[in-house]
Amino acid sequence: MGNQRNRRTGPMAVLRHLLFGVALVAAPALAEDVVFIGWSQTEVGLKPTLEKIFAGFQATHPRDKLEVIGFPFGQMEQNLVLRRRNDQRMDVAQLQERWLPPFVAMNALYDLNQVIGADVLAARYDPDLLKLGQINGKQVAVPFTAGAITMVGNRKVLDAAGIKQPPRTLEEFTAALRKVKAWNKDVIPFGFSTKGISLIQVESTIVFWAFGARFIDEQGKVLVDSPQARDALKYLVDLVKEGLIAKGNDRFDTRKIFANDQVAFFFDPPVVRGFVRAQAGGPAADAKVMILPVPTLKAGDTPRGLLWAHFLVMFNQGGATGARDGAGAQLLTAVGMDAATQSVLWRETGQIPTLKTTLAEVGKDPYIQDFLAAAKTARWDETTFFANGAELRQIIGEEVEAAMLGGKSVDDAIRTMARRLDTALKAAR
Amino acid sequence: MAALAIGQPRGAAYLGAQQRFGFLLTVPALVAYGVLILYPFLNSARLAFYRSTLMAPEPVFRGLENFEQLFGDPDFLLSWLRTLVFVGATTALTVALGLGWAIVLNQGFRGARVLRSLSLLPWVMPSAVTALLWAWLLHGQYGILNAALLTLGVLDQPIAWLATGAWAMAAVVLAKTWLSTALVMTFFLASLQTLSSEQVEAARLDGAADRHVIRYIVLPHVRNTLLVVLVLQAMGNLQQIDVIYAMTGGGPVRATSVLSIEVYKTAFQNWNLGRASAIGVLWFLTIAIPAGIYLRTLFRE
Repeated sequence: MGNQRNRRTGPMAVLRHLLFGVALVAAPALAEDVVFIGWSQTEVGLKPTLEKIFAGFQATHPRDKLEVIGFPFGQMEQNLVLRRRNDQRMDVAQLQERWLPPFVAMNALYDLNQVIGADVLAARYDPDLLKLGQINGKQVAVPFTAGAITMVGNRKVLDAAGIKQPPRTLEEFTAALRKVKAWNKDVIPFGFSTKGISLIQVESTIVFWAFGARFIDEQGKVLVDSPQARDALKYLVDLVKEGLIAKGNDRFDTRKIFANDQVAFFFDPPVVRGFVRAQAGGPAADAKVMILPVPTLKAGDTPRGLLWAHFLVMFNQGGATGARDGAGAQLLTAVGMDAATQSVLWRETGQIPTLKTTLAEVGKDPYIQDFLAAAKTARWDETTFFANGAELRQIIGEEVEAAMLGGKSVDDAIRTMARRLDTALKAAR
Repeated sequence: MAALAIGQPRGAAYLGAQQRFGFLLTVPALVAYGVLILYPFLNSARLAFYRSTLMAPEPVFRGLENFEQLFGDPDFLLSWLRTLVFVGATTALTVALGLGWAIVLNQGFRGARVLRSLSLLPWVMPSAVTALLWAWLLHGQYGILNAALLTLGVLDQPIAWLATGAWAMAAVVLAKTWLSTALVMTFFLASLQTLSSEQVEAARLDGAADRHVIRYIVLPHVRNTLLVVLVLQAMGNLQQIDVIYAMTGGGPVRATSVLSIEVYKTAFQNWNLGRASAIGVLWFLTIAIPAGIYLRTLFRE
């Protein structure tokens, strides 16, 4: 859309632009509508803090009209795609790392090096963090928060169950789960998601990696039909059969149950502390949240979590402007690139900051240290950089779910997964 | 309108003007139908023959490729079967309970009016709220059903109802039945209130038991209503998505993934509009059969 507008270069358009330029010099920036779309402000852990941040932006930009639109996380991607198709305005939006490639393929995002300035970004972010939002040489996103999805333990439950040392290997982990079950059969030992295809896919990926299995390589070759993958899936199936994983919960259920000390271990990104605080009575509940490395197959193996990031992007459609002093850029800067805002988010919700100054200020905190340590050895989800990643994730999630809930044998699920992934990847070429 | 003034001769010109006027009256409805229903439907039917994704700039014509893929996919054929199971079970249960409840409320006992009003509550509630209530009732950890069964000693450990294929299907059938029974009851109650009480009393004087009254008097009386309700319910259940999606999302392992869920997931999770449209066309044909029966019944009456 932006390109179409630029092509309107008749004499009247030139005159209009000249007059507009004069107006810009002579007067403060014109009032704009500005639209923010995200999911965090709909979630219990971050809602109050983000509402304050948006109110602060509106107070300091009284001439601009801020509209905040929220969708639940699970419906965010489709709503963004539909708004893109309908050319509905989206100035600033929150995206998960895996949604970036499709929107880049649609040429839907501004290059923030052009909008904000490469020098400004380099001054505020560590180059490694900034690189997370770069695709095809463009800075299409800035990290809002980043870390890894790794193992989280409930200190209160583990102490009560007599687990003195966090498990390092899968063998120790299984023993710890059995110990929890023996201590209290009402407590869920491992809150692995068995509901919600996308969550099952994410969490099973971490377990598959622990067994040395892969799904797809970078060239799109399917690798999942392997003994390691069968071992990983069999491990999960056996945990369900033994009652160490409960059926019928997703991560959102598990967070609530964890906050009530009814779950010993589960996988979660750094937002976990915000949820536990919101559910279990504020910062006093922080002590129960233990951030642990993912257990490995053998002692000495590298623990592999899943790299995880939420980005802020600027869409180039529906009237959204990419001007450096435009309301969109101002909003992005206020919400995502302001050190004071990131400090508040960290203090009130536990959201890990991404700016150099904020990380220098709070980076010594053990909670951040634990998540950053997990992020160092974490990997991107293997489906992330494929344009039909959503379909690939659905296939993986469905087949793992089928095996875990007893609908298919391990062998059948792995073979079907490999065949379906192969078909989907070939169809997308 | 001048052509319709009193005193004009009633000839062919008058009839023509009357027809034109009649047609003009339907134009707003036809325009709305064309824009809101016919165009999207035809466009969707056209897309069924294209490879089209939400990410791709332009659809590419592929003939019957989407249909061939669907008929070669055992999961899709199973979802068709699941749709029939859901529609059959929900329709039968709703109609049976609705009729039974209408017969009870038609007895005119004290409090029947209050009970009738209360019976409409499930129908008034938003279906998403109903779905979430049922999901909560049946939750594996916190659900009231498990709590009650554990307390009564029926179970020794909780059951994750919505994580087991057969139970999940039973749960969505029950939830949809609970939602729709009130409406069906009102249809039958309206029909029963036109049933002559003398006829029933005469039958009883002749020694007819309750079951005979129902079989030989009530059921023949509500026969036409029954047919209309059956067809309307079958069509509504074929289109059902909200209760199922909110309760199970089509899971576990696609156990409740009926055609409506397949269309939604294929279009808005896999972004494959061409394939979703092909499912939509097959879904339409599935709905068209009961719809045809319904329309024939309606016109015959």
